[in-house]
Amino acid sequence: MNCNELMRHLNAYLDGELPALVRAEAKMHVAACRSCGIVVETCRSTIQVYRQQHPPLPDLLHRKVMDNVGRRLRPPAAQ
Amino acid sequence: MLQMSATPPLIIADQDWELVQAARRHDLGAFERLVRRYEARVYRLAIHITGNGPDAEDIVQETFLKAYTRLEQFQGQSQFYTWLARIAVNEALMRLRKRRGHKEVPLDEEVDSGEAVAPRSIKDWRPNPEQQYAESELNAILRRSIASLSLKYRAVFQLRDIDELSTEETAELLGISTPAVKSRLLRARLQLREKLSRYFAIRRQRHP
Ligand SMILES: [Zn+2]
Repeated sequence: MNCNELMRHLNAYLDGELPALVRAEAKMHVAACRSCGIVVETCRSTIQVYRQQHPPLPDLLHRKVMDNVGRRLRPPAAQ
Repeated sequence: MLQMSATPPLIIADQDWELVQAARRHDLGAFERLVRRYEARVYRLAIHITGNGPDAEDIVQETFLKAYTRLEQFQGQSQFYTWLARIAVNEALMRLRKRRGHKEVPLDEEVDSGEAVAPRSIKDWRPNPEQQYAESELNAILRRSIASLSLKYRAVFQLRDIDELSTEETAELLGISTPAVKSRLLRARLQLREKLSRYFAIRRQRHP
C-alpha cells in the first residue's frame, strides 16, 4: 500500500472498518511511513480530545431549561 | 400507581425509555433527569455548530422545550440523544440561516470539490497535548478550531466523531447521502488535525 491508497482508506482504518487483509496492509504502511503514521496518530488524538472535552455549561442554563418546561406544564392561565 | 410501560423498542437504553415514559405522564422529575443526562452534550453540539455561546444557550433551551412538548413522537427508534440532536441541529441551522440573512447554508450541497484529499502540513504532536493547556484555554482552542471549518464539515464531525452517531444516522439527520458523510468526515478530520497542530505540534528547535 502507498500513501495515496492509505489516504483513501484512512476513515475506514481509523474506524476499524477495513477488511482484515486491507487492514494488515494499511498497518504495515503506517508502521513504515513516518508521514502517514503521524497523520493517523494525530487524527486519532483530534477525535479523542474533542470527545473528552465538554465546554462548561453556563451557570443558569439548567434552571432556565427547567423553568421553561415547568411553565409549559402549568400555563398561568390554566391554574 | 405503577403503569406498565410499553416494551422498550429496539436499542434505546432502558433507563432513558423509562424516564421518557414517566415524563410523558408529566413527571417533571423524570424529565429533569433526562435534561441532566444530556444538557452538556446538547450544549456542546450547539456551540460547535453555531460557534456562538449565547446562540448555543438558546438552542439548548429550545431543544428541551420542544423535546418535552413532542415526547409523544419519540418512539424509541433511535437513542434518546439522537432524537434530541436532530431537534438541536435543526434549531442551530435555523439560527445560522437567520443570522446570515438569505444566504442559504449549503449543508445539502452534495458535490464536494474534486480536489485531492491530502494532508498539507505533517507535524508530530507532543504527547498528551491536551495536558499542555489549562482547561479553559483548551476549550477555547477546540471551539475556535471546529468553528473555523465550513458548516458541512463541522456538522458531520460533530455527529460522527464527537457524538458517535453512525454514518447512516448522520446522513439521515442532515439529509445527505452516506457517501457524502464519509467524504466530509475525512476532510473534517484532516482539516481539524491541521488546525490543532498549530497548538499541539512539537515546536522545532531553531538552530542558531
Ligand atoms: Zn505513507
